[in-house]
Amino acid sequence: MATAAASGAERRVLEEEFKWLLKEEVHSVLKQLQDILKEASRRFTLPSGTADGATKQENFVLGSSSTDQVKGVLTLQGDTLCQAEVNLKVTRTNQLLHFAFRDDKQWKMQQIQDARNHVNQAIYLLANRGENYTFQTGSEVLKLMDAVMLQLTRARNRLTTPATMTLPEVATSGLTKMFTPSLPADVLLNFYVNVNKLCLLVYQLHALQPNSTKNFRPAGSSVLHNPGAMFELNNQRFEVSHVHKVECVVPWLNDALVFFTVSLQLCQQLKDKISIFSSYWNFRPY
Amino acid sequence: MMKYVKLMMKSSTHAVALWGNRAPAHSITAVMITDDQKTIVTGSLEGQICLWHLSMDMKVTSKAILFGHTAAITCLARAREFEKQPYVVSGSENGEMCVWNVNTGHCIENAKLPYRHTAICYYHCSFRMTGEGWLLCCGHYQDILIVDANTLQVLHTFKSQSSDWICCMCIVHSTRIQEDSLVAISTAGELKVWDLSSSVNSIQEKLNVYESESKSLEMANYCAVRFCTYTERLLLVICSSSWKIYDYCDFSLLCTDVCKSGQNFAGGEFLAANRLIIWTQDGHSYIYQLLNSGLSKSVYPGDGGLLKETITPHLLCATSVMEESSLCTMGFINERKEPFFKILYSGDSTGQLNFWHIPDVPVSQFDGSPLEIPLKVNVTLQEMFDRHKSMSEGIIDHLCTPNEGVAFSTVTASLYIPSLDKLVCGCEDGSIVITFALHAARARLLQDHPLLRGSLPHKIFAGHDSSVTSLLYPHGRSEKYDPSWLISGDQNSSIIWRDVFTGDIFHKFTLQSGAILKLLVPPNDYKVKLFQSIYCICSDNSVALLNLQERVCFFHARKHLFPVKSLKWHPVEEVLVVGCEDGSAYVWEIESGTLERHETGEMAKAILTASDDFAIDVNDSMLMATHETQRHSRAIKSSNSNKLGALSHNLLHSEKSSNKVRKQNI
Repeated sequence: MATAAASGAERRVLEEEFKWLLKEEVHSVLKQLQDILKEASRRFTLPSGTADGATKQENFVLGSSSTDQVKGVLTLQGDTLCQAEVNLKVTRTNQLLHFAFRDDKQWKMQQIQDARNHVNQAIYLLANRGENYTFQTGSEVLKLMDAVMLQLTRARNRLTTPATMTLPEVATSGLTKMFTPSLPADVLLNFYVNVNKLCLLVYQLHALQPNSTKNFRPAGSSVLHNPGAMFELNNQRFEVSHVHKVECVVPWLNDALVFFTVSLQLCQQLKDKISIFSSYWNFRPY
Repeated sequence: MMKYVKLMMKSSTHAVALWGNRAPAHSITAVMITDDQKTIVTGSLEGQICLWHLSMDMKVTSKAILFGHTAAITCLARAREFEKQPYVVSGSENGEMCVWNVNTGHCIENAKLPYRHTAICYYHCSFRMTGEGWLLCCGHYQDILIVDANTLQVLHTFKSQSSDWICCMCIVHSTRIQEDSLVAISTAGELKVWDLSSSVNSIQEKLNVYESESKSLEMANYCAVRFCTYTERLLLVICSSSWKIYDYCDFSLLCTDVCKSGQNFAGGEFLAANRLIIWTQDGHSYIYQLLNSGLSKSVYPGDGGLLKETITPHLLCATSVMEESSLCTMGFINERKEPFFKILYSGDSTGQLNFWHIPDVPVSQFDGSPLEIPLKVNVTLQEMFDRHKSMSEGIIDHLCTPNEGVAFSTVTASLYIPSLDKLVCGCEDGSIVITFALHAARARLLQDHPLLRGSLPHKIFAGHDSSVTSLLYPHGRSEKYDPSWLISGDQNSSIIWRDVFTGDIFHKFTLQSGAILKLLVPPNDYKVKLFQSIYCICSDNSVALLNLQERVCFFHARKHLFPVKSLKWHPVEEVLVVGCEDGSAYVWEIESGTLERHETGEMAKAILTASDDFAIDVNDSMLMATHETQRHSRAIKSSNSNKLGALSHNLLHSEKSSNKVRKQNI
């Protein structure tokens, strides 16, 4: 029997090593994790790395290689879109439309806010287990790692998984009411983050006649609705005629995602180190 | 003696748990005392809720363990006017919400919403509201959710001009102000006030309701906000590094105190007018008297963060703690009709429940130094189990006769084979005990073991030299396997293939991959080559494929950085797709044993969903034995003599066992 076969001396050495792991190694990993996550958190508040306390505004020009029908210039301040300008070239009429945020309006990018809050939660969890704290058992460390990893996974998923919405949800999200001049009834907009990119979707709609012979089938929830998707709003039926997607890479979102991945690996490595000892103690004291 | 309760009315399956002499892990993450001060409710990291009875003389006994959640409990709160209905609501890490009757242990209602709550406040305004009232929820999402206390459906939200997560809140009910308000603090440190009673109609008509007032507090990590009902004026705000008193009338700062280094505040409550108790994350608490220095408002103007009148806190008492304890969750309850106890309570991550009896008039010592309030009650679930030691035996403990002395060592893996009515228990010492499941259960349940003792047929198979970690009866999964085969894996990376009837070992495979965590069978439409092969998931995150007939391990995928979460076998492309806990996907070519692709993010998700049809069931084999789909609750009266044995110890003790335990039936 392996457990019994381990001699008394071997066992003592293992116990010493486990004590060292809990006392020294765990804290050095936690410190490393905190440093990385603080860097990640800093990206959300000070994107350009300035240290003046105030969140800096950054401009992003959103475009697409395949089309020049839509162009967007967005100003991001932390988690808030404080300015947005959208140019839309309508193919049918060759008309150029221009909209911008009203001065009194701002739009919160919930994905960025959630990701930032999740990272700060993770930092808070780690900070509560500072250098002075002595871990008594391995399972205590595992529980802490699980809690931290849960926050980090959620932070990452928030950025990599944009919300799926139905078209009526997009239409009533409040975003449409933020522009001046106000958006025409046949245009819908949506902003979201996809991994490291800030994305803008512009839908052009055409109203379906009430006596239309077209088979009406409302579209479900989706990040992007393709032309042909139909929906009903205020007793009026619409069909998406054109969709334009433009995007722009936000460098600090990329940094943050890399930090999340590195931190998650560090957490898992620490868990693995702790777990190795479980085979010698068979679940009990570890 | 034993009580089991259905969670879902529609379901007809009754679940019975047999406990061994070791109490299940119960790392307390939430704790509350009901308004009648008779029941303590604790929620755990493992997902179970424990009900404890609190007697008039402050004795605590465990009453029931409620199963139903599949993830850690994040918050508990009252869900009705308690005198009318003894209902409590629980929220979990993965968005499940349950309303429980804490007198009977019944689950009244449950729902799963995509919201992780950190706090819930029950609100009912009888003369304006129809229905059972609202559960006001905050957590890892923007603003305040209004959930119907009866149906658990989201009714609406309290919106905010600058939406953010809310970290704490409290309901301010003041006869002076004649308006109920909700005071909340966001993660960005913004204090917000919503009108409650006058918003009832607007909410019912689904109109947007925004905060009526807001103020930036410029600190981080807020954990509690409390309104003083005695003065109807003071507002206590606690963040991890300090606590502050504001004047509720104009939100001017009256008093502040910082935390001792190395400690973090976690919560607090007003004890009386100008007297409050503050507690820390590590289970300490301090009682302060607020002394008014009597400076008039005219001396210091109220703006610019200056104190308009100085209130100084004077430390009266501190509660004693057992030892440097781990992470705590605490609370305080003030009201008891008889005999008027003020109780400070805490539950910690090691499962200890602590009580302090706070004197009605706390005073410092004669020399002015703080008085220590002794700990009144300290109890764990294990103590409750120990109290009924005579009854607490494992499901197979009765197999050894008294003169044999020691009982079997701890069961570390178990398997029920319904077609053979066999219960297979893998033990810590490497032996495998096989007995008749219903016999064993009856012996424990009906306590007729004098009759059965020694006479119950059972077999003990040797072969493993370390604790058994996984068991598989492949015939139970697929007809293609011989009904006599039993596969077992151990802590030392060995896998034994043997005859379940005779115990004869056909072959012993040895991998070098740590403990064998799971044994699985491939899906039915596999290639001929994979006929009668077995998958192993090992503790080094590797996946091995064993061919039983050729007696070789012909494939071993070892590159996974994170624990394996899903396995998919693609018959057309002859690849094995491994999904890991970090969301990454590994595509292995089985023929050559090479890693074809490693993807993360969106691409990984696409690969994993594309091969969804060919998923291999990675879930615990227990689930297969009992065709159970509905969620169940079992409330076990453990204060009585009911801890009858353990079906499987390892499930109860492993870290992430909550969902498995929940579903194990016999």
